[in-house]
Amino acid sequence: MKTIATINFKGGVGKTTATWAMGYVAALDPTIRTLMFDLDAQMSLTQAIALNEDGTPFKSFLDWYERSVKRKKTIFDALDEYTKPATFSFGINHEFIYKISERYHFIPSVEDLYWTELELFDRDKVKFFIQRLLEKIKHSSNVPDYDFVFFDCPPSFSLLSYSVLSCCDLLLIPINPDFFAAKGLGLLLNSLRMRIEPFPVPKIGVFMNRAKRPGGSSVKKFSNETQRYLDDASDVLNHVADERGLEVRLFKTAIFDRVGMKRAIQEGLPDDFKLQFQSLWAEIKAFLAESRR
Amino acid sequence: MTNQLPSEELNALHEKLDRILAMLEEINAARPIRPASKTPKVKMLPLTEEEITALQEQFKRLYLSWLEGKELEVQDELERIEVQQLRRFADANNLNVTSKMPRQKVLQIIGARFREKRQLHRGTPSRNEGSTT
Repeated sequence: MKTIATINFKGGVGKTTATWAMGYVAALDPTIRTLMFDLDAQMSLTQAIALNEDGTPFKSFLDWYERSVKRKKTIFDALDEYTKPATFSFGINHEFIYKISERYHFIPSVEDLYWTELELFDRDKVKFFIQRLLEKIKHSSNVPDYDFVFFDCPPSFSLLSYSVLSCCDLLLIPINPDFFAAKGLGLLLNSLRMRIEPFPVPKIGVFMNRAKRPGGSSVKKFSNETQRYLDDASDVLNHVADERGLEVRLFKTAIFDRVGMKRAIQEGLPDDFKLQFQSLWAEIKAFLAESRR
Repeated sequence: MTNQLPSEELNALHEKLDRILAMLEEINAARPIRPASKTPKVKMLPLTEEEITALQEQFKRLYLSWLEGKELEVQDELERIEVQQLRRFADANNLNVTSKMPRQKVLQIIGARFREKRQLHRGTPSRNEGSTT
């Protein structure tokens, strides 16, 4: 089981859609089963899955969700159970994990996750929550063995994202073509390292989301602006890698900007995006398969 | 005039016309020849891979000199470059320039990119920096 967390403290860079699309293309392989967590209390991914393309509620999911809440089988209930002094006895089954499709499963967010930011939980204990939960999922006979687990993290250092970061295999950072993305990347990487250590810092992969194409008859791959900020991101990554000894990779595949992308979760992934995400996913898998330095 | 024969009247008109044509020729001869405005434009050749690499290396070298404080030397070097070549230099470094952009504007764009790059690598002040050990 390989774990991938999508994170960026800058909001609106496309974390949620990218996480969903990555899980989707990974599960296109008939031998692969993927599980996706929505850990953001803003519930963007959960809401996107809960709604039909015309904005009406997706009944099958909502019925399942209500049942999950009623039977105390949400991610918050799991956390609550875990932080109790008794043994962590939270049962793993499909009341906790929703089946989007046969090979693509989902653990939604709940509003209650906001409470994790208050001092209600033992911070030191919560650090290990995701690790323990993944062990439970791995050993449960009620759910499949997942090959890849994706986490859509909130755009901040929440207790839960900390818990993910300290045990995941890859941090996936989407950036947009603007100066603040390149500048923010350096700050984010330094900040991540300081907070994750003494746990080993996972591999870090960065990709350009919402890349722009060049105008007119230019034969360049990207617009000048996108290329400049890709170069800047590469500079920042190399600098941090050399200085801090982190394993970083700027993926060659970029996801191009398109109006309909935000609706892809409800309406389906357009073919051109599917190809782009498949190419990115191939790079990510190769990076994950490389042995650590 | 009215007493003249039609043939005489026609000759007089021809003479006037000749004088006007002669005057026009003189005026045209005196007018400076316009620089080859109507000569076909030579389309700028696309940048080759080798040229892009060389111009990016030049940019890197100039940026590092500029960063070391050799601003005047860098400015001098850039100003000595012929304007068309300066535009190619900017284009190879992914800066948005047009084929008619004046030299001054291209220089401004290059300068802005130098400042942006400096800002990128300049550390953000943190609370720990002020502390003494």
